[in-house]
Amino acid sequence: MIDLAGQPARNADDARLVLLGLACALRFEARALVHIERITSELVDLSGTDGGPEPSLIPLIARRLLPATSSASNALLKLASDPGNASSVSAWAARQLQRNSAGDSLPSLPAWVQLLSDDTFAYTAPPELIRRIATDVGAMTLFGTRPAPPAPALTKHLAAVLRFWLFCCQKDDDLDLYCPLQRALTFLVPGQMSDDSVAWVLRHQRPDGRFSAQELSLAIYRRGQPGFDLAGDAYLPLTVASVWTLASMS
Amino acid sequence: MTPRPTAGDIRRIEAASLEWVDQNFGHFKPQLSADAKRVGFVTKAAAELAVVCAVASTAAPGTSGAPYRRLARRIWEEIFRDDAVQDHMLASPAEVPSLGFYGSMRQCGFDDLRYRDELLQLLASGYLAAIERPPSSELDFLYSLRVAGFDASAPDTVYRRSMLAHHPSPSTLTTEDVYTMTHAIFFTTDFGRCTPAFFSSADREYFASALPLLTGYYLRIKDWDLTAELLIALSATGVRPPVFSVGWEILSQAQNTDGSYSGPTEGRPADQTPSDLEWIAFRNDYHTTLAVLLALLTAAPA
Repeated sequence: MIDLAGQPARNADDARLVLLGLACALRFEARALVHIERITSELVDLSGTDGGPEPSLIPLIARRLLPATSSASNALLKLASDPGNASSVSAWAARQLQRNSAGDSLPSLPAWVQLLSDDTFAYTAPPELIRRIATDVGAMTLFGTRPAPPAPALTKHLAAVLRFWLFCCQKDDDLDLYCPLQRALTFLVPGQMSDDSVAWVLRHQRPDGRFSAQELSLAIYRRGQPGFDLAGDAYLPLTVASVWTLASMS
Repeated sequence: MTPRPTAGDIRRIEAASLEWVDQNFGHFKPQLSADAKRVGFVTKAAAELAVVCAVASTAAPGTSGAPYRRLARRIWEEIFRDDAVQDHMLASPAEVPSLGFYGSMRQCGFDDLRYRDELLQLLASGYLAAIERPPSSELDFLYSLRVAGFDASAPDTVYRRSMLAHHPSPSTLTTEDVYTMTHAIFFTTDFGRCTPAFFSSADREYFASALPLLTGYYLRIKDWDLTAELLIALSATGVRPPVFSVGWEILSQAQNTDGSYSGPTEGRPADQTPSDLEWIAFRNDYHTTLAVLLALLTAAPA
């Protein structure tokens, strides 16, 4: 098990995703790694040792995660079955990834696609569902490597909804939700890059390299939760999410 | 799927909100305040209720005006004409809307020449104009002068100094900022009854891009107060994006069974007498209920 910033990853897939994010960080912005004290040789292996720049994280994920048919996708399914796990991917996304890795045809679209036809959906969808949609879009598009299955009109509508949610995240300074949503938008509408989005994510990088948001709230929360580890529970996931997002937009 | 509100739904929402106002009318009376510290707050609430009636008095034909006329008469007889209330308003015009309340009553067809003379003296002293105000409050002052029948300068130069005219990025705005912007629109457009010639094409582009986003955001966080104000702002600036009808769909489902609309509670100071639940409910919800009534009068869905 890989140990990052003193925090053991929960399982092999978590560790792999974290390392992919960090590998990306290494390419994108070395400063992001300053606060990670122990980077193992596995990280160097995953980031590629040939010295050539990785064009983006997407093919890296596709190559590293999807071919691992048994371990990776089964672990994803296991994660998906744990609703209490904040990093859990949705069951639909897990099935999608598993089928793809096995060469099977696409599963039917996730249930929330039906909800898009409701005009009020963008304004009433709960945050957990929004996060799941972001995950599912990643799976639907195989992390931006192929067009989304929905019809073009639906894709356009979904992109507009994602943009609206991104605006809400900006207003709430919710970097944690912003990152997966921005990645989903980038996967859905390939080639789209907003300087404002990049600037907004980058604004959250601190001088020591970590990414964080709502520091005052975190500090207050930490006072009431002695077991809460800022570096492992907040900075690390936000840093990984941020650099992955920046890489996917570059 | 949320059903689109029909004309009948809208009338029912309006009637229920008016019924809530009627049931809570005592809370709008500053002279009945249980705590002297509440007097300023309650006077402001009464003045805002008078604004609703004033807007209704000039609302589009077909609007049910009779309940508002009855309500205006009640405000006039039971609140505005009360000597103690008038003394308080004239003694503290920087703290309560002494001028605006009078202007609204006058729009409803009521006038009090003694009170008007007192206002004239305050105006002549230069005090009312000298009170330091941000541009959105200055626009309120100019609007109040106009509806009260006093000379008022054109609002264009004040508008240019307002936050709204500077077209700030919507994602950076605080809730207070958004209130200053909706109010700037209310007072420059007379709640949508006129179209200011000083709105530039850049202003209009900003309204068309920023107001729908903000409306959607406040709908998402269930802030019915700013949702209602933004629906008025959209209508007053001639912007009718999809979120306008969606906003009404959601708002029509959000009314409490007693006819009120729950107000935002974040940031409210702790009450001195938390055991007075009726008062707390009034304090939290009256503004939002009036904002929805105002929206029904000025920006009802087609």
